[in-house]
Amino acid sequence: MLAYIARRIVTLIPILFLISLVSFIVIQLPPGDWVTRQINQLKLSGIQVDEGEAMRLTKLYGLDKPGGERYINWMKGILLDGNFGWSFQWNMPVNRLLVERVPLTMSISIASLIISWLIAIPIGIYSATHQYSVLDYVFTFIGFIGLATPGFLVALILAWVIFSSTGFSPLGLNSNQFLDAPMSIAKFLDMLKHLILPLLIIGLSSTGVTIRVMRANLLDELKKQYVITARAKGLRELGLLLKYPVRMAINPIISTVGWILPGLVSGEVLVSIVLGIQTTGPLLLRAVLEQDMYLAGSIVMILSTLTVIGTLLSDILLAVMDPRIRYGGVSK
Amino acid sequence: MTNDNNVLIEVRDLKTYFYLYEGTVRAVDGVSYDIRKGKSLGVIGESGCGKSVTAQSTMRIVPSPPGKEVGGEIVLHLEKGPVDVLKLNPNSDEMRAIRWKEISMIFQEPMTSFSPLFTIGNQITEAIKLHLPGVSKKEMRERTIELLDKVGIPQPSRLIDVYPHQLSGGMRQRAMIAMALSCNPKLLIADEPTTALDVTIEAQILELIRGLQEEFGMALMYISHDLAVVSEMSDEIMVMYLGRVMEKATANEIFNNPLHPYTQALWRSIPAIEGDLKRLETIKGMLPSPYQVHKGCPFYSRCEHRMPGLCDEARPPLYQVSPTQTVSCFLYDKSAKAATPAVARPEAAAS
Repeated sequence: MLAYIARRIVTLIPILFLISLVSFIVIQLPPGDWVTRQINQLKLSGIQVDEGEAMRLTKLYGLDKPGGERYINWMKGILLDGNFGWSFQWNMPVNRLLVERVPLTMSISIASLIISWLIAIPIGIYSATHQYSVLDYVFTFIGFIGLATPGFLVALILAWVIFSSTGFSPLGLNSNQFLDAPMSIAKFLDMLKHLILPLLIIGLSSTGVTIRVMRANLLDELKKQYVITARAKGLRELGLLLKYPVRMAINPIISTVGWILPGLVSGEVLVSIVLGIQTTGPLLLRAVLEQDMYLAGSIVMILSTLTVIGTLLSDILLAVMDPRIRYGGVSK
Repeated sequence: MTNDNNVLIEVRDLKTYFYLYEGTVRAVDGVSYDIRKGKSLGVIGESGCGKSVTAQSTMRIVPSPPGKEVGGEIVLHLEKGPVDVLKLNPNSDEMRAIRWKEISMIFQEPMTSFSPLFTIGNQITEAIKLHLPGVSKKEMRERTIELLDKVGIPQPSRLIDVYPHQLSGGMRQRAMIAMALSCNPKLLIADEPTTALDVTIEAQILELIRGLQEEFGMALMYISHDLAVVSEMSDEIMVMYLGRVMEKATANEIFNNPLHPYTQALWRSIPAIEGDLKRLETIKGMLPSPYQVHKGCPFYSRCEHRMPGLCDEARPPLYQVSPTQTVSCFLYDKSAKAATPAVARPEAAAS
């Protein structure tokens, strides 16, 4: 088991290197850079910028150096000093921007994943064991609505409904009176109140899928011989359900942990914009539009790294759950 | 009901139907049989004739919905007195206490009978823990190792901790047998336990089951579509067709004097080892649709001796031909003037 984990971690190194390279190349791909974009905007607003000034700015930002050199400098900063570079657009270090938002994004993603599992897995189990019952149809209906409705639309409607009926504005992370206040229990509670809506909306979008996956997997497993064996042994129905078929049916859901993370992040961009929450989604969107290359590159790289780590975690979890995976490379 | 106190289980007019979208399948339609303590009953028939469903009804593990036991009784003679299993709720504590403790079962597919996620030992001790309370962990483990040894698994103290995928099919079926014996059941149901195994392993497993039946003093219900295997394994044989009993007799009688046209046809479709090579006879016609309801004999459409106006109009009752042989066919109706038992009636078949 430990050997399996160690082997998987070693294979991470070249993958992470490739990710950093690809992140850098991707943000270099659009024509032009931060300076040409700024100069264009100045020209649009009627201000003439001479060639020398443009050259000076390009040199100042280090954009005149060849790509390879810039990549090496960027990576050196990250690996040696933990410095992700400078954001042109915000005029501050990328680190400071990320420190504010990455933890928030991660907590929202993980919390909404947990919420979505807590809702979806029991419903999926119920739907499979009570196939074609009234409640199964109700859950199927709700699940499909959840699948088909864009999250930002639900966010808009719910925010309006809540505001118009209770007078509480669920937008942003804190109510106005707490904006500049230091962290306190009252402020924390206020933050939780604001987070419920985005958590539910972001979580629900994946809930529909998870219900369908859980239901279909469990229906397959329930027909298997080992379930009948367990029943013939005289086990209690609920006990055997949880010990045998559910354990099998849940595997594919665990294996999606890795790529549910980026899905949540990109799905959450629109919801976060609508609800005014400062996560990495809106930040990445603006950084790409403004060609703020180090900021955009860092976000892309961090999200990809998280995906890879998520996949590793889900693989380890699977190996813990399923002996056939655990012994896959060892015996025979 | 018989007063014979050697009877373990009495099944009377069992009806198990499956209510599907396409219609109702009468998988078991009025089956009756007894099994005496320590004796064996062989059940034989084509796929879909209701053999397995009969067995599953006995343990009340027919998947429901769509399956449902709609009629009859299954009386199990336990130490504390007779119990009609069909009157119990399938999920009740009483029913669950009967499963595996009184009746246990070996299934057809050794590959999937165990969950791949737990060790063989875990799944066997689970049954012991459930039905024999007060046994310590150490004793349970020892008992499991002893059982694995008994069914011929080498190095049982090591293999108790392996996962099912690490064993071969034959070994898994042996482990399954060990699990079925773990609580000393009174009746062991073997539902085609050797179908998925190759012939040499099949012989070993049959030998094993027979030996253990004697050793444990269990009754055995052996289900198969293999005539030779069933007659070797059983004292008494029941021939089923489309959910009904066609003929019931001792193994000897079924072998030497099959009476029902269906049993006779089954025998003719087995290749003979001795004598000249002949084209193998098959049973004419097709198995009727499982949704079809038969007013008369279900074998009517394929029978060589059918009597129109009689066989397709009424359901033939079971005629007692000898003290141990009963057959469900109008050919053996002594009161009917046409009755000349076991003689072909070509003019009737010609229609």
